[in-house]
Amino acid sequence: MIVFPEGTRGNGLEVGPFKSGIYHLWAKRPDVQFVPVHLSNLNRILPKGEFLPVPVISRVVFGPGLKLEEEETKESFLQKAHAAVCALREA
Amino acid sequence: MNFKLDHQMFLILNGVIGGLVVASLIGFALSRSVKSEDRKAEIDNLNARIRAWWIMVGIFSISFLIGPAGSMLLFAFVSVLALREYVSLISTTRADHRTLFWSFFVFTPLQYWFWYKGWYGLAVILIPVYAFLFIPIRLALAGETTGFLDRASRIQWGLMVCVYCISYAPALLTLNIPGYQRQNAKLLLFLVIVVQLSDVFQYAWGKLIGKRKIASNISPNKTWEGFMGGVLTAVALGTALWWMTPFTPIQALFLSLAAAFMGFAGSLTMAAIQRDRGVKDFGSTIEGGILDRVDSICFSAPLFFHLTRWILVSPHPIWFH
Repeated sequence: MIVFPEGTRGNGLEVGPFKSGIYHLWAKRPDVQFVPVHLSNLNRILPKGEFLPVPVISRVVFGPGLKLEEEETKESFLQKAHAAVCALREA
Repeated sequence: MNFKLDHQMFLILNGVIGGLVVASLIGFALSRSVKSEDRKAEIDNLNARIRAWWIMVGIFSISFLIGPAGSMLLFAFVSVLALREYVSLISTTRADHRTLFWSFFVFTPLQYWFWYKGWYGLAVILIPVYAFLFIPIRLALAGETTGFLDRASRIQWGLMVCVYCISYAPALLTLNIPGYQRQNAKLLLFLVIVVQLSDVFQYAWGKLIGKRKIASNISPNKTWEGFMGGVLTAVALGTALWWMTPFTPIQALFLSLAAAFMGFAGSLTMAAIQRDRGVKDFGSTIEGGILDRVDSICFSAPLFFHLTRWILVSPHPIWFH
C-alpha cells in the first residue's frame, strides 16, 4: 500500500508536514513495516495548479524501513517518518 | 521517397557492424580480466559507449529503412530526450513551467517539421530568432521577475543545443546535392562516423600518451596529445572514406577536420556545464546519458551542414551563374 502522508503536492523546496492518518494506520497495525520513499522533481513535472506536464526526469529513492519504539506518540511518529523521507532527499 | 541501399551503403554498414563486434568482444574480454576498482570504472565506461553505439547503429538502420520522415522523427525523439536531461540538470522554477512545455511540445516538433518540409529559411531561424523572442515573452507573462534573464537564457540555450543543433544532423538528408540524390543517408552516416571515431580516438590516444591537460578543472581526461591524436586519426579515416560522400578527398579531409574539431569543442563545453552543475556526466545522477553521447554531434552538425551546403548546393541567386 502506498500512502502520501503530505496529502498534497508541495513547492518542491521541502517535504511538507505529514498528515496524521499514517500514524493512525501504524497504531492499528504496528506489525506492518513502513518504508520511506522520496519522489524527486514531481513539482517540476506537474506543479500544483498546472494541467500540462513537462517531461523532467524523476527519481524514486527507497530508504530502510522505519525503526520505531513500542510506544510512539503521534508527534514522535510523524517526526520520525518525516525525517526518514527528508534523509532520502539528499541521497 | 526512400534511400537507396546501394553497394557503398552495404559496405559501410558491414564495416561499422564488424567494428562494433570487435569492440564488444574486446570490451567483454577487458571486463572479465580487470580487478582494480579504478580500471573497472574505466572499462564500464567503455562498455557503456559500445552499447550506445549499437543502439545508434540500430536507430540509424531503422531510420534508413523508413526514409526521411522516420529519420526526422527519430532525431526529434533524441532531441526530446536530450532536452529532458538538460532541463532535469539545470535548475528551473515553477514560473518556467509553461515556457518549458512550449519548448518540448511546440518548438521541438516545429523545428523538425520545418526541416522535413524543406523550409530551410524557417528551420534556420525558428529557435535562434522566434524561440529567442518567445521565451522571455512567455516568462514575462508568467509574472516572476527573479533571475529573469538567467532563466530565459537557460531555456534558450537548451533549445539551441538539444533541438536546433541536433536537428542539423537529419537536415543533411534534405540537401539536394547534384549527382548524390537519394544517397544523403551516407552523408549523415559519414558525419556520425567521423565524430564518433574522433571521440573514441581522443580517448584512446589520451590514455596511451596523454600528458598535458587542456582544461584540468573541466575534464581531466582531455589532453593535448589525445586531442591531436584523435583528431588526426579521425581526419585520416574520414579522408579515406571520401568515396561514400559527395566530396573530393581534399574536401572530405577539411570537412572531417571541421567535424572532429567541433566535436571536441562540443564535449568540452558540455563538460563545463556538467562541472558547473556539480556532476561528472549527464548519466551519473540521472537516468539516460544521451547528452554524453550526442554532445559532439550537437556542435559539429551545424557547421558540417552549412559547409556541405556552401560547397555543393548552390544557394546563389540565378544572376551569379
